[in-house]
Amino acid sequence: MSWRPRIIAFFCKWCAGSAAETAGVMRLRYDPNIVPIIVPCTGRIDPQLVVSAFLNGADGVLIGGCHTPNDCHYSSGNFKAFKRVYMLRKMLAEVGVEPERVRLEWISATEAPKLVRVVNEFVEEVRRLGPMGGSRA
Amino acid sequence: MLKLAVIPGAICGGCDVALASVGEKLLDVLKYYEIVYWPIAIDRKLSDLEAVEEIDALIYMGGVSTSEEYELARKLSSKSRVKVALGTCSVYGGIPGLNSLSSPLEVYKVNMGKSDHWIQGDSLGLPQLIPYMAYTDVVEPDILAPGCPPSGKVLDQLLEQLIEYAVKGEIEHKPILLGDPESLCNKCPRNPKTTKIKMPGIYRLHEVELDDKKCFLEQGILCMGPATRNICDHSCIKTNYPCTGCGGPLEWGGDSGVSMISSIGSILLVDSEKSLLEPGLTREIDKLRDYIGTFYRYTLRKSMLYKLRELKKGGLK
Amino acid sequence: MSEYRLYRVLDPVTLVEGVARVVIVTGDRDIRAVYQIMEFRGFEKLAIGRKMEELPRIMSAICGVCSWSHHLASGKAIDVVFGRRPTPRSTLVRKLVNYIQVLDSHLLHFAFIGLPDVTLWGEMQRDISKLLAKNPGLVEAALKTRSLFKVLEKKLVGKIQHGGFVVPGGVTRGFNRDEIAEAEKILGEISDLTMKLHEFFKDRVVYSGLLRKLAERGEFDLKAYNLGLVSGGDLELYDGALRLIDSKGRVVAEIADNSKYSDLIGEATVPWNYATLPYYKQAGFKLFSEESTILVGPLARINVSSRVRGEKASLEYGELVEYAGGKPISNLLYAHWARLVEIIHCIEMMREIMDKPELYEGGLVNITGSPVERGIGVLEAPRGILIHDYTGNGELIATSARVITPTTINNMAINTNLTKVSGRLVEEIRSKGEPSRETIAIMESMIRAYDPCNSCATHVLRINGHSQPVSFTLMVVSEEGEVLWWG
Repeated sequence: MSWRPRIIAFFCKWCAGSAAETAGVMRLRYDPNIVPIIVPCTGRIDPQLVVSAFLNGADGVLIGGCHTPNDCHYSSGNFKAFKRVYMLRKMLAEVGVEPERVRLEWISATEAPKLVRVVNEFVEEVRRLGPMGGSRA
Repeated sequence: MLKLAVIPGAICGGCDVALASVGEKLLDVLKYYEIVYWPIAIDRKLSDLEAVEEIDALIYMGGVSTSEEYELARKLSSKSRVKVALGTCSVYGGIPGLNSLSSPLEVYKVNMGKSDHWIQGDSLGLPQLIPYMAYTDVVEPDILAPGCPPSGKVLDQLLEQLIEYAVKGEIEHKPILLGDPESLCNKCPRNPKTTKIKMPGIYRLHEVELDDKKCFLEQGILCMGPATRNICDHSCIKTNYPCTGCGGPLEWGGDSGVSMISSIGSILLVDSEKSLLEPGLTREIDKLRDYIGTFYRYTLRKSMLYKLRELKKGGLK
Repeated sequence: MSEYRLYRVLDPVTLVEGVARVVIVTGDRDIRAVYQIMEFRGFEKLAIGRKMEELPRIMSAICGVCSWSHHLASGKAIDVVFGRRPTPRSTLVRKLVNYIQVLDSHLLHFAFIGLPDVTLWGEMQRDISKLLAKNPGLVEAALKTRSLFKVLEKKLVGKIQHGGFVVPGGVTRGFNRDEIAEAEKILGEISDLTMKLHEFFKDRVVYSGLLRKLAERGEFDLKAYNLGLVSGGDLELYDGALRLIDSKGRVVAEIADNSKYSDLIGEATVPWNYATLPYYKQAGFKLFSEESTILVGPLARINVSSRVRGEKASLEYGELVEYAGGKPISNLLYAHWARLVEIIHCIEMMREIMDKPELYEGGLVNITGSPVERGIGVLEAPRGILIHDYTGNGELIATSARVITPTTINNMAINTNLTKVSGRLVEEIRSKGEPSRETIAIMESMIRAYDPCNSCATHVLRINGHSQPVSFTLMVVSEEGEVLWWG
């Protein structure tokens, strides 16, 4: 079976986004099923974007932001993201969608190896969960 | 005279009463339209309506819950020039849409399970239950008039549209979502405006004695104002009851629930995030219960979350 | 085995709230009309998982005509669940709103449905538009009451339906003296307009002998159990004991603890009606039988209570009972007059509450109390006894809900009452192949006299009357009315 999970990753440009670039420079491999989208701050990620990603074919959504409490370039965008993702996961569970399909991680610009580990772990997790659309195998 | 038909689907009767209570404006409409069907008000049968070849304006109230309602909604819509979804059930599914996550049979079993006595046998042509829908799932109406029930403001706008149609012969910029294109907070009588709203925590409605002047969110009480279209001029908030979101999202195609959690994310404990950290915030958010019934009380059937669930079940392409 | 044929008449029944139809079932031995209510919304399911303190606003959507009744009954149930005794002031606020609800609903029915139906007797279209042609002044008065109610309700409760103000242990908002002074003025206007309707009814319907003439027809007679709330024997709409009388007027049960309602009322599920058929439990379920039927609503309340408070209401009550030849009154057409008695009663009681200083003083909510698992709220909605029964978990999330509405209870009564036209139906269908217009008119008047609120009854399910012509033609029904086979 050749199903491969499709994963959208929203990375903050100040941290996880840079880490992804560093990973490239360091020639660290991570799973190619992931499509990174660089955003100015995780505080910008409206839960609607996450749900839209699923409705448009994503099987998982990964969000990478700056470490709390003090790393956010805009002071507290990461806390906003934390609260929203926490609530969104609860909401997904109520309608029978696995909350594990959304993952939030703090990854600084210097943590390229962590980024690689998180991506690989998450892809594996989503692969285990299977496709989002029940009919798509 | 143009022909106006008012059709009840799965209703509570609130829209009937609201429409019947608009008063003089209704008389203005009756200068242009003849009511050919409206069971609560006019003594005409369905056979009379079936004899009408074309309907100029059709107002559909309520959701669609049985095969017969579905067929009727389709049949009548196809011979109607202007179609109006009246009330939140018709537009968004409304409160009964909360059952969208269960099959009709599951719902039936819960209700009938409380009986003391059952008689077996046939159903005498009892129409088949279908998964509950909004009228907007059956056809795309020209005018959407949300509200549980629609407020005087929305009904006035609706009747104006109907009069305009009678005069001009067309409806521009369809579909028209009635109400004002702004959130309820925009003109809220309690909105502090000058300062940023801070939600001090999450409390349930029974836990606090409500302050009748202060923003509900600033009291830690969930108020759907930020994610709800201004269709009502704050009627509930004025009686010191937080908005429960009956007006639906700000725009047609919007989503109340994800908008609301986004708002809560912005305002909940904003002044103590760095001291509470993730565990502290988690503890507070865990007090939030029943997301579906709180954030999608009226709009679950048309929500992104419902679509997501259908996708999960393999029901969407 | 007999073969049966169905006729759909009165599809839908008009001038009632919600959608219903009458189906006539004919066979070799038996012809009877069945009242089918139609819809499916499932509130008892959707209540599960909800925060209990929010149930009043959710469950009020069962009915848009008597939404305040549901809001208040639900509120009474959650007072119990949260272990809170509502403050005296909040109880007055709730009672006042309940009176507005009953008054509003009754006046709507009386003016727009009852009056045309009775005074236009003999005509096929009996609605307000016909009445308008004959009595424009009267209809104008009736319309004026609508706009006044709109102002009154918006002023006091924010919206005309489905607003929220009830919380466990109280209300979110009280009234101040200015608001009540304005409300009192509006009430005065409503009261004046009501007098016009009252006089018209008495002249045209009562003193003319029309009512007595119509009441002599056996079809409108229902010798059933009557159930209602009483307070010290007085007619009561908000908080009292459940009193059940038999068709002779004897008190067979009086239960002060309303949570024991299920000792009196059982519910039966039949396959041809999504709404249940509640029955008197001690009698057992007997379909289409007066012996197991309970009547609720204005006429039942008049029958179960010994007195009606309020000077004018008390006089009107006396006149009604005397004219009808004593209690219990079993002819449903008298329900229109009973509604009028209650209209007068509500106006007088509202004035009494508005004069109480306690309406303006004291706390609006009591937020102390120890929650319990289950709470039951019972009150008199315009159409009769309304019961909300909830169970929750330790986190005060609902795990179960049961709602019995007056129209559900009367669903059984209407069906039983319809058997009274069986004789006519047999004769007409056998001789002419279809029921006469007069028989149809009788059935419709009978149903309208109950003021059924089909949305209420079908918070559970509703069979929809809209449909193609009859496509199902055969069925087999046992002597007991049980449908054995259908094709």
